[in-house]
Amino acid sequence: MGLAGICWQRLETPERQSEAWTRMWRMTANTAPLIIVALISAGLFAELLPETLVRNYLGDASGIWGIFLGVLMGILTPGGTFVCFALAGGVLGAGAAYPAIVAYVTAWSMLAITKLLAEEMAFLGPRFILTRVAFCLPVPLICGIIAQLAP
Amino acid sequence: MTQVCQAQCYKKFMQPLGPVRVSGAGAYLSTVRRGFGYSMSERAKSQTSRLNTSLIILTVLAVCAAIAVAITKGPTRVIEIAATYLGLLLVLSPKILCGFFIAASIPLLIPRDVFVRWLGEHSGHRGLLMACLLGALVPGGPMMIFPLAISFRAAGASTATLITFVTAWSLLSVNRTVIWEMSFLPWDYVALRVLVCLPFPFLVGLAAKRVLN
Repeated sequence: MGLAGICWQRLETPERQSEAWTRMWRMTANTAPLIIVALISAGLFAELLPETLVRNYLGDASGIWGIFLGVLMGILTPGGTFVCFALAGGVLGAGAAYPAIVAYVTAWSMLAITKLLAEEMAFLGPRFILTRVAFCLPVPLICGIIAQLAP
Repeated sequence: MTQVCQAQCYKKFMQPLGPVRVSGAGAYLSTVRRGFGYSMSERAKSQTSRLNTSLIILTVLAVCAAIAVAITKGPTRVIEIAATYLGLLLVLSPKILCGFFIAASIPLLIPRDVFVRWLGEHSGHRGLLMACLLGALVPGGPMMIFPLAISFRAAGASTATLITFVTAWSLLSVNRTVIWEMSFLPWDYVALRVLVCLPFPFLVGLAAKRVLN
């Protein structure tokens, strides 16, 4: 919000402020149906992907298998920042290894399926998502393996 | 040679902003709506068709998910979820509108050619580094970052830079790491993860650039 204020100030003249204002409303009008559908489907996906899955499988994960599981669970974990980090903290307390958690958090932040299919789809479209996922898919795995090799 | 280039760059950057050259996502959509053509009308068309495909895919996914939830948890649960998330939308709407406002004013604040020079097809490694920095430093969630990414694209950023930007935001967002990750997870883990992830936005962007060109 502070940033929005700064932008408002930097626009300086009233004409340009109103220009930005109308552009904002146009953008809102164009994306409103998308956002509504996106949010509702995010909620529905979250319902279909239970958090207990993560607790059950990642709790005592270790080694390469743990990293694999971390990536998979990260992609499947629904919802916002709070859910992911609270879960990661929980399973870390339950005895999961650092590399598995690194893989989990990395996979969640880059490739979480709810974020991809709801918000990114709404704004950037399927082609961009496919391109990005193609390049990003191996990264969480590599990150986990590096974390495993690190002393 | 580089000095000359930098001087030119500086000169362009300091020029007063011309409203004519500037265009953004909103402008594209508006040209389509009003039906008159800039030179960008082709890209504008692809933008609306992209929006429509997204809407169709999203709706299909939502309907499938709704059916699955209705079968497993009962149809009332679907309505409950929809109501909860619409409420969430109301709560979030000031934030979302602020994000849209920022995204809409960026093309007005920064002229298109500056944008193309810094983040466009030929911006090279410097463009990728800029995208990494922007992604890590811009605060906000997906409702802020993705509209911003659209306005970058409309202003002339290349796909590789956009991929770098989104990846940098997802892996290295300073805001989220400090506020959320630090509060739930021990600091030595956070340090390990950030160190491991640090080069990847740049590397992913580099790979995308090589392959997509």
